Amino acid sequence: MQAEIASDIMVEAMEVLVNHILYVRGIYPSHIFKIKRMYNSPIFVSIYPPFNNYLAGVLKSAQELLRRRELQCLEIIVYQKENEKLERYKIQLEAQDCGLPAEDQLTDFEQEMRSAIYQISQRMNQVPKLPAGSCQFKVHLHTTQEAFIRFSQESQYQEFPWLQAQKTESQVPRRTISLLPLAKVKDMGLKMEALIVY
Amino acid sequence: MARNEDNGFSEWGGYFEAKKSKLEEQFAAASDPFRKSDLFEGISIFVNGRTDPSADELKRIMMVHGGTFHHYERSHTTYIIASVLPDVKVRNMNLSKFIGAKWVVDCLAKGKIVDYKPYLLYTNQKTSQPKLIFGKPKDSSANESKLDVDVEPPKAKTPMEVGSSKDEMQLELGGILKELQQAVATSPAKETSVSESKITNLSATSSNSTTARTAADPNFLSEFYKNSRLHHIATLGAGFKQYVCQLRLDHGDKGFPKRETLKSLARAERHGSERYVMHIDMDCFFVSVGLRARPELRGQPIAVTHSKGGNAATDVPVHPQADRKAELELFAQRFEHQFHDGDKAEKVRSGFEKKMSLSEIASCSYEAREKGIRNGMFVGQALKLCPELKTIPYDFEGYKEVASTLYDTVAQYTLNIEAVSCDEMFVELTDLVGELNVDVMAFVSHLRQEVHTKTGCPCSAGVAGNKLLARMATKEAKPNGQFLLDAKKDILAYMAPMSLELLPGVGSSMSHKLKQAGLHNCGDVQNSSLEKLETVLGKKLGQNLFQNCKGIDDRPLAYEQTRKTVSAEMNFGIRFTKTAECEQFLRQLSEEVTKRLVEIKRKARSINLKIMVRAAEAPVETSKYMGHGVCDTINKSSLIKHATDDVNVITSMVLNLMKEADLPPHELRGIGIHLTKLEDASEVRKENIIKQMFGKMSEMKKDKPVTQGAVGEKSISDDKANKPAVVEAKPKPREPRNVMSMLTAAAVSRKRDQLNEENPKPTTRVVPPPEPQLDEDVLAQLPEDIRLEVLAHREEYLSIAECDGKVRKPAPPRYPTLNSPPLSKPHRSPTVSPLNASDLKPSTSRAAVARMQKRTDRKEQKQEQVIRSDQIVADYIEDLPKFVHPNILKIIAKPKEVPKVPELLMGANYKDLLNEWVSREEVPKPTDVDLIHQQVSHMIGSDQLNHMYDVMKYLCRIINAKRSSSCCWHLAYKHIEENIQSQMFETEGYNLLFIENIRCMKCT
Repeated sequence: MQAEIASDIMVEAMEVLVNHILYVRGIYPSHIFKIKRMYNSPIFVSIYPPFNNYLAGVLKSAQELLRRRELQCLEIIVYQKENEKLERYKIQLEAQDCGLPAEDQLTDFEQEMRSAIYQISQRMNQVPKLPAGSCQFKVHLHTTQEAFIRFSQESQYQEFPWLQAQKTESQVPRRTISLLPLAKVKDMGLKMEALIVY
Repeated sequence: MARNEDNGFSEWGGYFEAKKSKLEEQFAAASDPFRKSDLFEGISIFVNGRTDPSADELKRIMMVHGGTFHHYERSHTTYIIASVLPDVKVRNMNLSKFIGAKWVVDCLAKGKIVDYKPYLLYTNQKTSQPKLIFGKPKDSSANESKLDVDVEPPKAKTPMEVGSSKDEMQLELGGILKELQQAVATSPAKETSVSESKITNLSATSSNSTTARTAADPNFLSEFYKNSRLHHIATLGAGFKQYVCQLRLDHGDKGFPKRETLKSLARAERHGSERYVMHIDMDCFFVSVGLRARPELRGQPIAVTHSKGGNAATDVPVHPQADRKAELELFAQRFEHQFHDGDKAEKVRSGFEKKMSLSEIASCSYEAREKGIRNGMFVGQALKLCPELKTIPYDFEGYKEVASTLYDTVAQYTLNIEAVSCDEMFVELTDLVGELNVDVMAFVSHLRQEVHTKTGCPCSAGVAGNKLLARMATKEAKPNGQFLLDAKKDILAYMAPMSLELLPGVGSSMSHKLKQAGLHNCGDVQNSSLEKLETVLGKKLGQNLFQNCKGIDDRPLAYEQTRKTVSAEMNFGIRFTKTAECEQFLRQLSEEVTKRLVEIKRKARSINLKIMVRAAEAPVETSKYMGHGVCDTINKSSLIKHATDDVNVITSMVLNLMKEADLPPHELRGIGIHLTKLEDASEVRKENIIKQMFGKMSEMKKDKPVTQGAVGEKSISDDKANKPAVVEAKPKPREPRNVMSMLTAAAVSRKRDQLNEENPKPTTRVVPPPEPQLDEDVLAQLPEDIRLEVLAHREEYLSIAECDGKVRKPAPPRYPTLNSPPLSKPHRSPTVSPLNASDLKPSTSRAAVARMQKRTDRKEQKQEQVIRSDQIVADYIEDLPKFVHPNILKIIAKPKEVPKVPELLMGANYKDLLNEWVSREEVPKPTDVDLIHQQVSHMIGSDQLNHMYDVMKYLCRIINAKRSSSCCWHLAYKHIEENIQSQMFETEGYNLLFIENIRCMKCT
């Protein structure tokens, strides 16, 4: 039960972060986002059903992996052409054994989420805008090979199937990729950073 | 357009009134000998100002043709003849009586009273109104359209001449002119078919308060829902379903005291365990309610309808562009082919004739039914069948009142009620009859009597063993009767002759199928096989019908019905010209439907948008005024992840659906929003899990004292000693909370808000800065020499502390920099004062340096001993034992970030530090630069990238701001940055993205 709640909280945080990133980076036109109150602050959340469905699928899988403690990282990849990743946003989960944070930490968690979100907007603000309308995104979940195999055999996750991503070396020279730390939510062991071709 | 009866002498309100009356009398007497005709019988005119023909002439005309000429304007003056009116009058007066003199002339010319409306001087019509084109005087032929032009343009122009400055007027004018042009342009084609001589002017009727609008008008929806009968009836029915639930809920174990009164009723003759279901239904509900106030109409054919009846109903204004013939054929075809509904097709075929009213009859009395009039028939058609038919308007308040009385009356005896509609319900009587041991029919007649005395309206009741048969029995009982369909009777034989359409669930298309299969009545079905039925209708329907035809119906009564759908639909008056109008209307409709949803305290998961679009082959203008005509229906729906009753969500969904449908706004004829998949609003929302958590958790800990204070803790540094005063954030005693209220999900969110309001309080409640005095504990821990020094210069220390407190807000422990020589003490322990060696530490902050300065100054004075702070650091570090770990060195050197590490939210103080450093030093000292670099690189090592980034950004900014011309600083920053970058590349494989850069022309 406790683990269940912890993963719920985590998934919700991911949902918010993904929505936020997509909004901030203008991957979708901004009018598909509506302001919603989360963590006691206004957050832009998509109301575009196809996207919401996709995200729901992603998060459902992520939740399952989380429950089994097999999720390492959720990564949003923004690209214009396949293999030419423009930006990568990693939401990393650090191993945390304490499980659910203590009850009064939830307030802290909310605050941290809030400041993380503001921090993201603030930092991403300075990053040059993406060419409008031409970018796409996809989501990678980082897990172990073993977990992936087990996961893909479960029937209830068949309708939202995952593929193993090929480890292709990006053509972009490493030096041009810069890391932008975005946020850190300590209580949940959540870290977010962006890798941006700059 | 009712003409006031000119009975002349009824008002004797003083001399003037008497004079007016006398004048009238004289006029009547004088005109008598000249009278040639009674053309203007009952019409009185008053001439205002100069007219053509002149007032005198008009007076003569009136004398000769039986009208009355008023010398003064009187309340019963039928028309006021004028050619222009002053602006004041235009604005203030009821303009419906002002007409042009031309009317009199035209009446004379035609020998009959023509419609006055085209001659109105001013109308209040709005441009937002539909294309209500003035009907044309359809006399015989050619000059008709000319007449239009002759008559109307002057009328249209006058407002302009009057110079009404209002833009509204101008717009209106434009609208009218356009309409006129259109009318003229289109009229010749259709005129031949119509041979009416009356001029009809629809727009004039709309100048009253009962304004007919289109949906483009923002008030349309509310106006409509005020008037729509279906809306009222539907909401009434749904309301009573809920009402029954509520009654059952409130009732609890209370008995039914009213049952006592039944004891006197006849005893039941036999005791059986038979089931009794009563179906009770008001007779011609709308009519009988309407007749309560009109007893004189009893026994006459009556119909309830919007239409006014009489002459008006057989001669309604027809839109010149409405092509009734074409439309009726389309309708008829559709009904026949798609719904196999011959009745409707027939109704349409006979009802669409000419100019008959297309208002439908909502309910008609039994007398009217005898003449062949049916509910739902068009008024025009009904009038043909029965010209003496009286129509009465709706009386929604009355319906509500009577229906409530009906329900309340039944509820006195039992609450086993299944509400069907506002005037109809099923009641399970089995337990009541069993308990009281009364004869069921005696009870029913008692009940009916009571209903009749209370409401003044008759009702009928049927009793049988199940719902189906009870309804059948009611048919038998009507009107104003009761009927027991005894289970002992041969139900099969009873059912056999019944038409299949009488059964529930059998509509026109199903009966069409059945007829094709050769099944006409229940007997046919009884004799056929279940298999055959199943092949015709499908398994479920087939079985159902098979049972029903045998009089078997095992459905239980649904006492507590919950709503499954909520909807709001409008297919009247939908005439948009712009998408914006359509969207506005959708917003209103969404609001309306959400309002209904909230009223029943539910949330929806599915939103369905129903759009009616004019069928390609249908005429643009419908025969029925503002109706939807022949349409194609499009349904679009979307699911929401979490059930909602948020008007914004619903509205945006609806707008999206409409966008997806991508239909031209002017083709829309009907729009409906249906919300389905309803969930209870009180169900815990999954929307915000944290909210839920809060609810649960605060429940658990509600009695525990809150030990807050970690967040945003603001400690007061007792500056003289650099000791971080331990913060005492007083836990604020919480008010006891109601556990129950927390349990409810609704409370969760409210609760949470409370929490959020409360939480900051304990954290911000910081103990006020202590009086400047020395802390004995701190002193005790100081090394001997320092303690002495402090004590010796007590005043000075205190003044520093005080001044610091004033200059800045109580700051976090700012310089817990150096740990004492005995480094064994854990630095982070908040209770241990880290200040022992404070005198020696290298301070980069101004305050510290200032303090240092003071002290050294003092020392200089006293001991003539010059010690530079850097020197002290260097010396001190050199003095340290060799085994000291480099990390400790780092901490010693400048552990300024240390307090932040455990408390991210306290990170604000790094800014002060950097700020002081940068603004103080003209040229950064290499040691300081290294210290900073070490600090920063330590952060990389300890996974504090996030914070490090802030630090670097701030440093860069502050250098840009304060040292923009000092290339030394620039180099220092670049040095740090470079080192950081290479470290990053080593550890993370990427460079950091520093957006902030040193802006300097010289050193780049």
